[in-house]
Amino acid sequence: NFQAIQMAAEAGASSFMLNVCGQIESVELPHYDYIFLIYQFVHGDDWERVLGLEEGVSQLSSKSADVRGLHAFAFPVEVTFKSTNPHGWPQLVVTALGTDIWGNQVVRGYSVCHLPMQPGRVTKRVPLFAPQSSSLMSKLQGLMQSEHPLYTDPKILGQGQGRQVTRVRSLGQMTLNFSTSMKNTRALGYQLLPGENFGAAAAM
Amino acid sequence: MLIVLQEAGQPEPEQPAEAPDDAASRESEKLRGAVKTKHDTKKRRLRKKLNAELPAEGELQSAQAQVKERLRLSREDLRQAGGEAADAAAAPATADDEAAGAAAPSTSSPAADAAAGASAKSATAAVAAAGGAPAGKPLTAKALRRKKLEEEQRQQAERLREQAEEAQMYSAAHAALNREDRLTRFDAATAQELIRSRTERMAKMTKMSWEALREKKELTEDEQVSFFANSVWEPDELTAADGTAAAPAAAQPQAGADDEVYVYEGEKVYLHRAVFLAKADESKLYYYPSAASATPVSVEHPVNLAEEGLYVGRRPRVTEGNVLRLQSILTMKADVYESKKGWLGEDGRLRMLPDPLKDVPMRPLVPDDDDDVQGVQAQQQHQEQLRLRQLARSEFRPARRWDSPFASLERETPWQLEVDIGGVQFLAHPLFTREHAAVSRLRQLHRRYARSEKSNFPAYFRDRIAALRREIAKLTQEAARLERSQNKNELVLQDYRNRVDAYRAELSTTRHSKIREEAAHYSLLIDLLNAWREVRDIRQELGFSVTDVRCDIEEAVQSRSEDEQELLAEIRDWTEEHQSAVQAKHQLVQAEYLAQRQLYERRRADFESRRLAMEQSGMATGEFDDEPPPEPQPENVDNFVQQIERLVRLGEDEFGQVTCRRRQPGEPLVRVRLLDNSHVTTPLNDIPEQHRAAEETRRRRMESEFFYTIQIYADDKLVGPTEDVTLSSNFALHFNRIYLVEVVQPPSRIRLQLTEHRRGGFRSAVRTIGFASLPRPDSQTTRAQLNFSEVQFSQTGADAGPAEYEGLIRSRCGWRSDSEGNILAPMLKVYDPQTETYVDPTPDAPKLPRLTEMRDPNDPAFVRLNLNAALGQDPQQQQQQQLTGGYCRLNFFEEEFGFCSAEDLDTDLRFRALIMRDRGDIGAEQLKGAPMPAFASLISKEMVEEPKRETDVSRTRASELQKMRMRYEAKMRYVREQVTEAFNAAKGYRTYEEVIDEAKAVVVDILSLLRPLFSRKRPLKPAREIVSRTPLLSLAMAPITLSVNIIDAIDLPSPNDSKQILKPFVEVTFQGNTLRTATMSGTNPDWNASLELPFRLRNATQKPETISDPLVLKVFNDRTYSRPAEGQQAADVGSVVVQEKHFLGSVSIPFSTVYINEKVQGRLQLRVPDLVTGYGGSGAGDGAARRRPRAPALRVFITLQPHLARPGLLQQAFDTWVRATKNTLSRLADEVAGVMRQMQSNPEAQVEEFLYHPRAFVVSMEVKEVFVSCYLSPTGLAPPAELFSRGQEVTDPQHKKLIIANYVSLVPFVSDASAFPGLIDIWNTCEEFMDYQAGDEEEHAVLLANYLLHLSQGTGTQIYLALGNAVPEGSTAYVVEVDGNDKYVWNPSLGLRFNAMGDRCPLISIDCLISAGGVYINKKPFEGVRVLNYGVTDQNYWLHIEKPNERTFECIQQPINYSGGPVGDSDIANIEYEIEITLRKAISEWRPRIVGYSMRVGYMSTDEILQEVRNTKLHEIGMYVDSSDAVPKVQFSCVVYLHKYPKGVLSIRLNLMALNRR
Repeated sequence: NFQAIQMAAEAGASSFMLNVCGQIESVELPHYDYIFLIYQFVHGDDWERVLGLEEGVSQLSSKSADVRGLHAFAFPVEVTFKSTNPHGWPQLVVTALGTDIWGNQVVRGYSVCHLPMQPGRVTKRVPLFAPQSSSLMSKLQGLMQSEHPLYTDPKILGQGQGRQVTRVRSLGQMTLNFSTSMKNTRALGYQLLPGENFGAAAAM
Repeated sequence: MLIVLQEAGQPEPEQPAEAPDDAASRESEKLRGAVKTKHDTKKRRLRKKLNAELPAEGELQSAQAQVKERLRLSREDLRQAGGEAADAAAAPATADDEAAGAAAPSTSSPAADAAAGASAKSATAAVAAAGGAPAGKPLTAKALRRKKLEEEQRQQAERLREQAEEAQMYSAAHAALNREDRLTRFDAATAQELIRSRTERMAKMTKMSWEALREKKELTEDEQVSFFANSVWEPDELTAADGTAAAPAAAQPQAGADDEVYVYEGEKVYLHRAVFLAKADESKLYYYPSAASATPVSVEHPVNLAEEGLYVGRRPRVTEGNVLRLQSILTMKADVYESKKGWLGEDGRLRMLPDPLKDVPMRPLVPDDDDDVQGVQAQQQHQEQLRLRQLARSEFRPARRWDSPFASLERETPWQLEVDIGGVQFLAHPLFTREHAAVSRLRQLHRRYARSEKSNFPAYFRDRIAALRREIAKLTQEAARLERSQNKNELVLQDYRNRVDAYRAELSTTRHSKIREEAAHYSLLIDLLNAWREVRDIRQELGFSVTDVRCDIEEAVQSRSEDEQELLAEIRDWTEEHQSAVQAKHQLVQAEYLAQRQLYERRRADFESRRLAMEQSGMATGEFDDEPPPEPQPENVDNFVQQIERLVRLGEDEFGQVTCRRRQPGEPLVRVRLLDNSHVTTPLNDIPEQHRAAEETRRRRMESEFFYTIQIYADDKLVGPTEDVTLSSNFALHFNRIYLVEVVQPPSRIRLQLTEHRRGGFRSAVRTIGFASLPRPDSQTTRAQLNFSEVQFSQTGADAGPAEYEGLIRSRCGWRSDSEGNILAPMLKVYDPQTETYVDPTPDAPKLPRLTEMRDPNDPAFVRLNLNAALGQDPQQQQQQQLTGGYCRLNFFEEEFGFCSAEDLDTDLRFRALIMRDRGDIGAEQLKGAPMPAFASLISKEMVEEPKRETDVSRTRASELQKMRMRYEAKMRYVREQVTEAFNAAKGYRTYEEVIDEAKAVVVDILSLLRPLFSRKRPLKPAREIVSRTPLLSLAMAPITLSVNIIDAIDLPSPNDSKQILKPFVEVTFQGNTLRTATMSGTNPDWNASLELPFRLRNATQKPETISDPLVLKVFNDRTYSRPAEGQQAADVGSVVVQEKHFLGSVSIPFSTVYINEKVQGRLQLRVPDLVTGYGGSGAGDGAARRRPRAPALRVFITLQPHLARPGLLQQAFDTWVRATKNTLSRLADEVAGVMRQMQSNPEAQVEEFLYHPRAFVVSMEVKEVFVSCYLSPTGLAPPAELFSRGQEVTDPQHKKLIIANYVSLVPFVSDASAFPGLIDIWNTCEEFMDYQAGDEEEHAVLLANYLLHLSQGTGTQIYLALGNAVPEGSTAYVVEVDGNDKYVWNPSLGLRFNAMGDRCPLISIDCLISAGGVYINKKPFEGVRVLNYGVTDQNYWLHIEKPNERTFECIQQPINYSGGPVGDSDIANIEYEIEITLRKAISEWRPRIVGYSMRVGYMSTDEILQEVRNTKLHEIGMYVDSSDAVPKVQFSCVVYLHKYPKGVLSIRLNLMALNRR
């Protein structure tokens, strides 16, 4: 392994690359019709986005007519990151937005998940949640003014701090799939194995 | 007639109803009910069917009409017949009634009912009834009541008859439609029609299979409909159709299609969405009818059971909706519920069991427990209950898989223990007779006897003795041979002797043992015989036997002489041995004696010779008084021989007491065997005495009443009771069963608990009579390898007498081995640190000592180890556990857990850089915005180098004063680091508003909406434009200017020369840029000038609040005059205009103050030199008052353009931090927060919230939060006494105060705020402040307040520390002195006192007043200083937060020790000298021409003084350009005076003078 590191250093590999291509397949939000998604990435200091969109806005979707209330998006997410350090592994923050009865744009849900840490294909189901009003009055007011509570910056979801002040309600689920490939991780001394092997290694 | 024929069969039994007796009436009543129900059901059914069929099939209409037509005739007939029947029925009934005579009125009505019933049910059998019954007698009795009754009866009969007619009609129709044979008889044409149409349709539909339909592209509606209806459209269906489900479907195909829709919607309604989501398979969401051709319902032999006359029960009442739902579920999930056919009955309806509810409420029979008859049953029930209870108590859990690397994972079955319970033998039992007890004793004795017989110790010892004797003989022989030989080896010889000695000792003890053993055996035998004798005696006494024990005694006759000889031989041998032993011992002793004797002789000879010599020399001599050593006597053996003889013969010890009895010579050898022989037991009949027989019978019955079980507990968990066992005749319980115990975790022990139950009524007759504990077997031990072990138990009765129960439990417990011989036992694997693997410890291997250190209590592998320690079975482990407190200690492996060693981490550059970046030591600028490099080699060393360590203060070459200051700096830096850390921690805290955007609560909005309605209308009020605040981000780009508006000045000193007019102007300097105003004239000039100074950041990332560049405002007098040029005498020629700037005063404001306060507005008091030569003095009057009546002040408005938002985030974060860490002070914090809210709800206060934020807690030098009141001592601090005793004693309190204020203000002002400007101040105590000689406004204020408190003790003056807002400092600390109506405000860092109500008062507002007793928070800060007019007791204005009377809130001030200080006299001289030299040099450099003034400053550093002097622009005086370029002659004088106050407070006076040489 040391040799590999040496080689990598000689070859000038000063960072590893993470390429994730996938899509936001569908969102199950049976309560709401007409939503669209915005995604963003949150990552640490040592990460640099090389390719791909920093933010993406999806099409407007109407839910399926059956009981599932499914919004199919098939919204591609493709991004390449470069980093020297796994700390601050990029996370995908998705905001689901819709229009309320007044026709204003309101937040329908947030969700956040890490990009996969193992190479290969992963399907994730991530719950969606939305912040709740702090009081009944404020909720009423929010309904009247169509000011539903929302995160000032959705990127806060990628951080561990400051969440304790919020109250959220879970709403639905989002299905994503990612295909991940990596470069140079081993050369930099990081061993990222697919999940099963990883567990076995830990158990041994 | 057909109708009659059909119905006649059923009412047959009603004929007896007409029999004129009571039985008949009862019978008829029963029948009436039966018929009625039958009619009802049938009627309903028919009606339904007809309703369903008739409108559907149009062709049936005509048939129906025909049927009706034909029916009419018969109905009329029927009606006549029914009427007759009713009459006939009524007549006998009334006759009966009459015949009954004086029957109670109550009986009449049932009778009438019966009659009515009879008539009703006979309605259908009218012909038969009419025909069969004889004509009724004419009615003669005409009682009114009876008449009425009759009327009723008749009406009822009428009703019933009508019903019957209807029923008949429908049944006729039914029959006509259903039965073809009947139809042919009835109306063949109609039926033909019917069948033909139906078969036609059927033929059409059967042609169309689903596949065929599917191939067609489009289906017509008809096709669809008929297809979907197909499933229920069966030719047989119609005939079988008794229900409603199939018929409508057949009749109304359209409705059937509608049903499909309904099914789906119904599903949608009541099936929970989760079901679908769980499936998540879209294909399952929609229902398609199954293409399988098989119809769900097949009807082979449609039989209507009810119609056949069988009882079918009633269907339970289920609401239609539920039935439909169930149907639709079954239909939709046809593939899931494949037994759909089973769900639906032949009639197409859902199958249901008949209604289980009984009409009559009843309860099941409860057996009476105390009833003897039901004894056995009750016993069983009881047993069952017991079992259930036990089941409930023993928590059966599914076996857990041992998911750990320590157990083999593929194991599926749990470990199995086998508990083999052989039996129980009672040694004592309450039912024992005397004989039993004796037999029990006998058995026990015999057991011991048999054991002793088996081991045969006497023989063993005999052999041993023989062997020893042989060995001794051999060794003695060998030793003798060796001694005789020439080259004898002493060592070998000695070894032989020693061995012989050892053998002899052994021999002696063995002989003793032999005798003891023989005696024991003998006495056992005697006891056994005695016990047997006792048994025999008892049997003889009673005349019968209840036990089956027989004793078999064998006697072997021994000859007496032989025995005697044996004895003699034994005695002889023993004596011999003893003698030889004694001899050998004696020889040794003798040899020693000889050696000692020799020594003695030699000593004596020595002594004699010495004595001789001394006597010859004439010295006094003494006698040799040593005794010779006693000669050892050989031990007398005779005594011992006698002893031995007595012991061997009689078993007497040396004291003549018999300790062990032996068989005497000639006594026969006895062997005893116990036999069980059932013939011994006397049958009950043969017991001679009657009462004994009865007693015995009772006892035996009692015996049979008891039964016993053994509960098996594994670690106190019940794993199963054994079956019940009754006592055998010899009080033994034979279990002989192996019980399997499945365990997940090996139990530490198995406990058996023997319980006794008694049959019979007593529920509570369960007694636990014994326990036995089995040790947990080793993991290698199977049951078969173990022997039965017998464990004795005993249970005493209520009175602590002899044991009531006593017995032995025979049992064993081992692991089970499966068919392949694997032992189903857990392998306890332990970690071997040496090999780093998990190994099976062999059972006998010594425990690894290191294991004791790694006992994780949660690790299943170590459960046993820990358990042993807990149970105290392993003392070593127990001790270990006590040492470690029972906790697991993993530090043993700490190093092994690390990824790498600590040194590696320390030396790793990258790791260090990462840590530093996390701490915030490395910013983006160091990394140049790039991510952290992946390799340590790419990181430059400078980046991660620690900030330079401070050089040790004590080693540097600096004066004491400087060192002291450096120490202060170091200390402050430490505190700052601490606070910064806390800040960084607090940065993570976010308030709700920061995270979530939401609609504001309605209340607030309503208020804000309503406010304009109630606000005062002031049309003259100028509209103000709100300045937008630029966010900080654009700071670096946008050009920012510092806008300084200089409005006016007052009370500037006037020149002494009255001819001159003061022409003041203001110069503003910031960051090296200087601007000036125009020149005005007069002492109260009015400039109204607006100056714009550019503002720049040193670098992009610098935060504006940390910029401490001062903004300096200086007031000068523009003195311009003309004078003759140098060297010229005449004034008219070549006169020059001299322009001089005379310094009048200055004021300096740090930029951060402007930035944080957003603006500085107000009157600033100018800092004026003490003496400005040439100004202010008018020459008349006395000094102090005349010189400067009022201090000059400058009115300014300073702000930034554009407006910068002030840094709020940090403040809030810090507040959060403060609040979060405030746990002990939470009560206070709540109060403070309450006030905050109160003030925030005030709109005006909301704007100024920052300014009026009360800070009840401050950070002390120890980085602890301290309540502010703790900084004030109730009695104040004593100022140094020498302040008041210069020259003459100062007594005037006001003067004293001034002196003190002066003293305090001289302590250098060092701001600690620049690190956290305006946010947090670190408050030093006065002692620290004085020691470090540095502090900012808080420290000054605290010290001053404490001094003033001390001075004002006893007077009515109140002193408060005021936190508030002042000009220009912004948020600051002042001291407020309230003396009656006079309120003063002290500026502690300037040492000035202001009248609080005066216009010069720099204090704009007060947040809170702090006294030693607590804090007064100003509720109306916008009132300004005027709020002081209201006393602190006024609740409307002040909120009092009392200082809690707790130890944590004690005053932290310590008295100040004034003696000594860092500044010695030599230092003073040095400083004086240094300043003077520096000034001279500087002034000569600046080419000054000085007017001259004196100033007084505190000592901080010379540089600062230099700055002060430079600010005066003294050096520019006289700087003018001569025409001849001659240097103007100006002389400067400079005097420095230093005064030392206590504690090293220094006052420096500078006198600077510029002398123009003219």
